[in-house]
Amino acid sequence: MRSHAKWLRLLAILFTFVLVTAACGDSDDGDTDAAQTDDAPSTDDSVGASDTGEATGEPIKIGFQNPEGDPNGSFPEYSAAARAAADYINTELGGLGGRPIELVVCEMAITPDDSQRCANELVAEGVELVVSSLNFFGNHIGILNGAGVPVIVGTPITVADFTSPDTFSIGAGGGCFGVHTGMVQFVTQDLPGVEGIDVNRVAVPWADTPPGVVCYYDLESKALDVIKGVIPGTGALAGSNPNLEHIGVPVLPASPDVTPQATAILDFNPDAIIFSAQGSDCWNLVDALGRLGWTPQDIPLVLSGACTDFTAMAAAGDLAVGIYLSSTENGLLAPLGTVSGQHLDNATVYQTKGAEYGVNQDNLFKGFSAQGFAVMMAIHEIATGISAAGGEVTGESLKAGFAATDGSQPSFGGSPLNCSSAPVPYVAVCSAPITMTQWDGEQLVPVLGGATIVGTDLVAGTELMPGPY
Amino acid sequence: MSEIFFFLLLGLGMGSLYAMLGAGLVVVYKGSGVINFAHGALAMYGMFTFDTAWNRGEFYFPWRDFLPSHDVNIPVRITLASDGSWPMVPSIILALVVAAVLGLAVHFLVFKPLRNAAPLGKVVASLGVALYLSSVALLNFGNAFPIPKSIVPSDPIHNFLGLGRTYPSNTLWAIGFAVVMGLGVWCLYRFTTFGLATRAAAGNEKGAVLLGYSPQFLAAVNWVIASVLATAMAIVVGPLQGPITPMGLTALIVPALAAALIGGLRSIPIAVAGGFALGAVRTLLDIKKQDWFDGPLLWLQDGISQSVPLLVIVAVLFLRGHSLPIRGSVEEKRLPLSPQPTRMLQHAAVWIVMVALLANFWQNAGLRTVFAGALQTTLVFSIIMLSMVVLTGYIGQISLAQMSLCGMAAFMMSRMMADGLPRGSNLVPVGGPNFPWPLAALVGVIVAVLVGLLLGLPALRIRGVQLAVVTIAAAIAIQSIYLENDELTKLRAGVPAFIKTPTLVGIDIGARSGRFQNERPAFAIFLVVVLALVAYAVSNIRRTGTGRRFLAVRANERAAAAAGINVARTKLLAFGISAAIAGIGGVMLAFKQVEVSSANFPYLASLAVLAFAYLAGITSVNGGIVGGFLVAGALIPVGGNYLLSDANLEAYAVLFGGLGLVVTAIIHPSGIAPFFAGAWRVMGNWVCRMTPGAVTLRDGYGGQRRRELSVVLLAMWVGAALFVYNATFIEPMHWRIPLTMLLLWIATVIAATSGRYGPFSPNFAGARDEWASWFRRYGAWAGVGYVLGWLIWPLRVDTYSKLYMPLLGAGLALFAQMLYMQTRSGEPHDEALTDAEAHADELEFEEVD
Repeated sequence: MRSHAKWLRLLAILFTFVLVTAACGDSDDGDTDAAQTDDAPSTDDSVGASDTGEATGEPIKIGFQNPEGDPNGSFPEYSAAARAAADYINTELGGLGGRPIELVVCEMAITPDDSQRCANELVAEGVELVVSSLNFFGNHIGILNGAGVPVIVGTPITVADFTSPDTFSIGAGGGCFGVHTGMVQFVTQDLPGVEGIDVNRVAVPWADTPPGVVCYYDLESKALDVIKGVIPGTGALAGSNPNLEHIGVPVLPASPDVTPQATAILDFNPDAIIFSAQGSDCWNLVDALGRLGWTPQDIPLVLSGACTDFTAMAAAGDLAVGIYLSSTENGLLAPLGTVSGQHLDNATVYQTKGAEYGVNQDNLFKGFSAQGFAVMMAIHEIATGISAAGGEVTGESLKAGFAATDGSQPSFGGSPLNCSSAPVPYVAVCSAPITMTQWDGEQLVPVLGGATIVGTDLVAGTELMPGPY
Repeated sequence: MSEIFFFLLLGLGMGSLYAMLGAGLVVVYKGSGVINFAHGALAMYGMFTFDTAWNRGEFYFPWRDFLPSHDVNIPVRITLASDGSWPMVPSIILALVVAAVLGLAVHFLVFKPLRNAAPLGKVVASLGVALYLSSVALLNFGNAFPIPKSIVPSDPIHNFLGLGRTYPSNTLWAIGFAVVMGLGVWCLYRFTTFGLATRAAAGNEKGAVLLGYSPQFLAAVNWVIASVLATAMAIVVGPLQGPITPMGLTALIVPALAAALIGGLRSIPIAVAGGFALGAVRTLLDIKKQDWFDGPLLWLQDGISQSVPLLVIVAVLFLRGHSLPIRGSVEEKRLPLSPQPTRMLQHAAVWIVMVALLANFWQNAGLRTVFAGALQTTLVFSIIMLSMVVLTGYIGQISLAQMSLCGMAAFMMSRMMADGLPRGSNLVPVGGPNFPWPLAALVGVIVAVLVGLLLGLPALRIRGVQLAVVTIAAAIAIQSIYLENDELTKLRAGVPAFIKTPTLVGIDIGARSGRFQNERPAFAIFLVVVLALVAYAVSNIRRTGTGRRFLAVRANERAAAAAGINVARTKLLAFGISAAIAGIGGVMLAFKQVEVSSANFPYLASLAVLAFAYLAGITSVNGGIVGGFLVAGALIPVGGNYLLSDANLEAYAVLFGGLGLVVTAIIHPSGIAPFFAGAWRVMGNWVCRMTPGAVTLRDGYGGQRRRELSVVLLAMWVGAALFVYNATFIEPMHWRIPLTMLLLWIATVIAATSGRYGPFSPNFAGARDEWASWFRRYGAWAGVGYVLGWLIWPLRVDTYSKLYMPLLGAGLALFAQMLYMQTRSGEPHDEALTDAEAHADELEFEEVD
């Protein structure tokens, strides 16, 4: 009896606790609810979006494969922004040719089997098109190709992303193909002019991941060795600087302490540092470098756009001021007061509609969030072209639409797509130019007047070098 | 020399974290005799709480609302500041309070009930807590992992100590905090009555009780101290620890264990010093490895610093293993009984037929194709879990490195198959002897056995918890020294190893179909045959003298030795057999995945395997097989997701696994498989007594015409499955189930009325009475459950199924009723079931103890 009374008392206390916390607590499914589109206000004409109202046709299922929840790499902002874009397109832009987007997001761990599991599940779901945000293995594309599902790659990083058929790598300056070579081009050719320094020693910390190793050896180390003249190339800069030295320092994702790597970098005494990785890893290394006395003013640091995270950059304080970050022609994170025309329209749509349709402030100014939104908007642009020509928007017609792009039309949040002239063997790369920006403590300021940088010529005429050579 | 000195000093930052985590382990061990594998996880949750409060203005309770609805929810999040940032000091206080509450909760809810449990029970419970907290953190704090901000000054100190290099000031702060806190804790235990009492209880619990101290109170206070210390240190160390992830701090348990062992699980100052030394040496090796490990030692470059904790742990245990304190308790329970398997061949035949049919049914079946992949996953993990049954269930040894053994076998097989051509995702050619798959697989399994035997060597001197410590350190060392070692695997940076498609007499038995989907029935059949052979072998071990020797060693090593058993040889044999099974599992996993990377075999995966094996029932073959159904991606989570219309239950698999592990360790150490065996038997009897003619066949099966009836029953069963498979003309699909049951019943009546198997029983009146009786006894439970399910469904109409939620509710209500009765009486409740009936029932597929 006493035991019953004790249990009852415990239950009563628990019940009271739950009631009290329920009164002052929230459920945690806020992110999902925040993306509700029922109360979305009408489009502001000033942002330049076409107002064709809510989509009412038969839904078009689009798969979205994204790494989330894996400590080695997790980018929930990518899919959150894609969801927001899909809601925006459905609610205000009339969907894809009148068909509302039904986005089927498959969250995956960073393992080869999970990459394929997602592809299998999306095929089973009957999607007409799959957006692959970034994938460390590239082994999902074969499954999607086998099922006749075209693939749009937001952040291409594997050779499969660059070379697979029915695949269109539209984002992030062609992924590491454009970004890494572009960063090398910027550091060796433009940075001396911008900073007034000689660049003969370049430290290249690189992400020690399956795509990271290929991107480093084939597109950074090789590009630098081509300039040095160690590796023959047909590009204009081949052999142009025999004094150029570089060091590669692998950095494992989510490493607990990267002081050893930072020590190796600084011991090399570099003139400039290039690092291309995923958000938190970039700022982990910056923090470690800072602890050892480095500042961007001493040694310029150039990061890839994937590192962009305004919250982390603000938290880094003075240590981040002056760091260079790659971007693209119509980069969505540009301060609205510094751009105009198409660029301003795109950035305004993202920064207003993205927030309105559920991208939270923490994520809004992250590189992958902008990329997730841009990819969906690019699909909408192609769909609009198909509708305008009287066609029906399907997975197949979208594939044909992307394949036909020839660089003549601007692309939302990026450089014009030119899939029809993708260079062999990189037949899936639709866009490779990048731009460079610099963090001034509050915003990203365009460098070189926002001019595009193309570094792919650095690896022209070379053999593929996917590993140590 | 000054450079080396400087690099050693640089490593003291992380060393301070190892030091305090190690000191916390010593504190908990002194206080409660538990080696807390969840210590890092407790610090992790506290650290997340601090960072989320400070930088996002939010607080998350350490639980999850796994069936969120639009209207009624369990509170999970509290907004502390609407502007997204709470002040630093309150955030620190909040984190420390959470750490204290978690420490208390873990003690009172988990380890106090387990105070007399077998060491395995305590180990798995702490692993359960670690899995639970990691999983909740992943779900609650989002999966974008922040870099923590430093709460102490982090300006660089130039020309530090005249060494000509820049030193981070926050590292100095971290060292200072660790030294001060370490001294404080040491003084607490050295000079206060509380410390004296704790030491007394650690030395002799009974004596402490007689002196009027409550060991449980002392333990609770020690848990709070340890948890708060760990969280405080993690907060001070801040950005030095890299991004905050659910795994990051949790994984630091290994160097922390090494530090604690250096302190002999007794001395806090020595543990702190050990932690510092470990951090310093690891950082020095990380910086200098390229200079020091070149030429013939090149292969050591990749894993040397991660292997330091293993080397320290093995050295300490080897040198001081016997002198480490073993806490005596008032009473200690043993591992649950290991039942003797029966009728394995019949079971195997039934399973093979069923898998073959299901595999065909789910091939290219639209949305249901995911079940084909889940079936493959289930069968692979069932094999792997059987390795735990041999090692832990039969002989009582704990290994937290089983998935590492799987990885060794998988990688080695891939290398033996390699032919110097770039394949799959790997563009770099990997050279190898191009062996055919059976030979390559055999080499893989042999290598796994060799490594397993190596793992077993420490077991000759140590046992129980200490062995768990060695194997978890070994798991991390295997990962870094082999699986992630570019020099040895020739796979740079985690690039996957490629596995060629297996064929058998020219027939493709690979996992992937032409459209690259994991759906080929041939592979499922291949898997189930291998599983059946392994299960048969494991059952045979239990039945033979070897099994009895295993159990004797499990029960009492000294007694076993006194009885003439060579304990060392017996243990090594078990390690070898277990490693061979894990190797077979690894090989099959590799075939399933076609490409395997080191990311498939992290140490956490080994913890999950142990968790699910224990949850299902680690002492029985059935438990191993049921465990395979529970892992993420297997049939139960995938089926749950399917039935509950994308409630994303798969995301909760590890959370449920961790929670289930703790609950199982406390209330039902035999796991759930024996419970289901009983429940299956009870339900079988219900069905028999409520179906006219069914008792005739049941009783006839125990009679003289058993063989004949076996054929009849198998024919009925296969016929029914074929009917379901081919009855695509019946729409909606749900109607196939009652129609199949009707056909089965008609066949039953025909067989029963033949008179060959005894008088027709039950007759229609008897069956009707049984139905009425069933409804009287259970109808209310099922009805209430159904209505509750029906009420819950509209709360989230967009994700829950209105068909399955009420049925699930009814099923859960009956399950709860059974669980309640079973917990009370030890058996699922069925008043009408007599002992004779219970033993007469031999149709069930589960083994009987």
